This record gives sequence, structure tokens and C-alpha cells, in this order.
Amino acid sequence: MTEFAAAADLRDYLTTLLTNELGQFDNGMPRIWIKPPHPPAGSAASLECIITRSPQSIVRGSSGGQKKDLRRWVFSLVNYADDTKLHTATQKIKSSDRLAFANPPSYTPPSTQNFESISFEIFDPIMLTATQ
Amino acid sequence: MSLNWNPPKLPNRATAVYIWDPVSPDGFHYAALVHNGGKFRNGGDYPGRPWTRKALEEANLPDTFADEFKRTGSLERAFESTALAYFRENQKAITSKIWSWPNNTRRASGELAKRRRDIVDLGNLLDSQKLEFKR
Repeated sequence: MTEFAAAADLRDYLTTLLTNELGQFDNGMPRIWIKPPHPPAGSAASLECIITRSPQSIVRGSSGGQKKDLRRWVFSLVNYADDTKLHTATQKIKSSDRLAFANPPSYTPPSTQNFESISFEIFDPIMLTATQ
Repeated sequence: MSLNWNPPKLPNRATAVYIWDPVSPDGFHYAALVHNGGKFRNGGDYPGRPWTRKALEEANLPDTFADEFKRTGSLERAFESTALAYFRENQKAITSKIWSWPNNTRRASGELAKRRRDIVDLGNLLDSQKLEFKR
């Protein structure tokens, strides 16, 4: 497992991992976005990935005087195409040796009202301070 | 040196399964959408309201288990009491006005639900909650 220094690192990793599953925005870019700001239009029915810009931060002290941030990156996939690519993407994400999960993914099945979607929380702790 | 220890009997039923499966009049099983959120087909986000996580944050399940085991000496009863405590905490999370919604709405029950609200409405989600013990 490797740290993600910023949301852009996670985006780059997921872009490569899901290169065959992600759709495209109307401008031709892979349909993966760090929010905020709002993503550009993606009118085609395809798979979209949205990453929350700032990780959830949980700071804990340890007996050695060090502090750890038990960070969690959050991203979600939305299947606007009603096809099997979200399932394939999910299998790839679960099989990744770089991603550790803080919680089981939250899956919402498709219905007449909503698209299929799934959210992941990636565990990515970092040390904030170290004793001399 | 001899060791005299009578270990407690291991419970037969060591899995607690919680189920919510409300169904709308048109046959839509909507618990996952309420819990996890999602994207509406006509645009817009459906905010998730993960009541099971809220319940886990609020319940002190290790202490509940330890207290009940001290009181009864039974792992099985301690487990069942802990599972029931989490069951109640989920009901509390569903009925608490702690969940955010983008705007005020009129519910099917006729209630005007404000932006800070519970997730009860007609009570179908709450009433569908079940706990099953398994091996």
C-alpha cells in the first residue's frame, strides 16, 4: 500500500486502473473528477468516477508521542449506462493491492428512480509528527 | 503449577443479521438508496443517510458485551444483549432528527419535513427492521 499525497494521485491511479471502464466527459477527457468544483458535462451514458477532494481526517495520538492521521479518501462510481462496467470496475478496485478499505463499499442498486452507484472509503494513514 | 479454568460455553449462535427491506407501492426495494444515497435518473443527488454507521458511533458495544458477560457469565446472553442494543440504536438513529436534506419537503404522511429530519415518514423503513441470529 502506498500513500496518496493528494487527490490527484488517487485520480491518476484510478484513471489507469479503470481505463477500460470509465466513460468520457463531453470534452473527451476520462470521466473521472475531483470534486469540488462540479464536474463538467458528461452527456453520454457511461461510467463516472467522482473523488472527494479532501480526505476525511481522524487524528490520533500514540503512546510514543507521535500523531497519526487515519485519513480516508472517498470516491464513488455512477453507472449512467446501465451496463456491467460498474461491476467490472468494482472487481478491479477490490483486487487492487494499493487500495486498503476502511469500510465495505456502499452499493446502491439501480431502480426506475436512480442509477446504480457504489462508494468506497480508502484507508490511507499518515504520520503527522515524529519524536526526535 | 496447575491451571484451573472453566472456560465459558461458546454460543451456538454467533452471527447477528440485521435486515431492512421496505418496498414502495411500485415494488421498489429502497433501503439501500436511503442508506447509501445515489443519483436520480432525472438529475440531482439523493443524499445518503447511513443510519447503521450512526448507530455504531453511538452504541458502546464492547462495554455492553462486557457488562452483560460480567452479569450473567454467559457469552451467548452477552452476545444477544449486545445485538439487541445495536438493534435499538439503529431504531434511534432512524427516528432522530439528525439527517440533512437539501430543502423542506412534504412527506407522504402529510408531515412537512424540514432540512434537518428523521427518516421515518410512513414508518415502513423502521417497521421493516429485523434481527436474525444465526450460527
